Amino acid sequence: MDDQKPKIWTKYGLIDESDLVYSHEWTDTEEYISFSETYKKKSDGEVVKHSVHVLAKKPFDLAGIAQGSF
Amino acid sequence: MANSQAICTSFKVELLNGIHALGTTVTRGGTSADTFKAALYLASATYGASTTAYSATGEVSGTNYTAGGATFTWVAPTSSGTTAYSTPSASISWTTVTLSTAFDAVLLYNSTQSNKAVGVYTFGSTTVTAGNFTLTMPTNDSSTGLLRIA
Repeated sequence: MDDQKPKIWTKYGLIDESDLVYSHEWTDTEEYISFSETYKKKSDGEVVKHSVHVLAKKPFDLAGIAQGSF
Repeated sequence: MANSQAICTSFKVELLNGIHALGTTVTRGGTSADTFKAALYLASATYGASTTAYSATGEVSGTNYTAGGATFTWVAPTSSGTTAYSTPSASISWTTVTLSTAFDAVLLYNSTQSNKAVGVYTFGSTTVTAGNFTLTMPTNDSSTGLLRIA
């Protein structure tokens, strides 16, 4: 590992960013949008870092409170 | 101007603030907001509308994840039109976690009131490896707020 190169924290500790392959993916549904980022080792493709960010789009629907009548 | 039948919007907000007790209630220790937490659950778990309280059964486990989940606060309940609403005041995040078994749900619950359940929110089944998991909240308004009484 070269101390002068940018590093990424992974399951194996710090690894040179240049030794990793970055990819990301968006998933958009009615309920949520998800954005995930993945770092894999160039050498064997092992996933060493994977982060996920979810945006809730659909609220808890409590719209069922109803008023009765006499 | 005629009278109109309605559930008062102020009542909806006050429900979220714990003002009204139509049945047996609890003795509150003060006027502060309760403490709420968010716990993550495995995709194999069965949490949903029938869930009444937090349970460790089916909860995720892994590096840097503490059983019981993360604490969060709600924006003070308010209303717009006839809808009362509130949303967690910030994203709920787990940092540098490794959660190797697929999970797809978060349970929001009230840790002050015997861990009673608020709601279950599902998302796509996922894992996290030495990374962050963030639940970003929607805009806190009457149409997208996370918790709404319309």
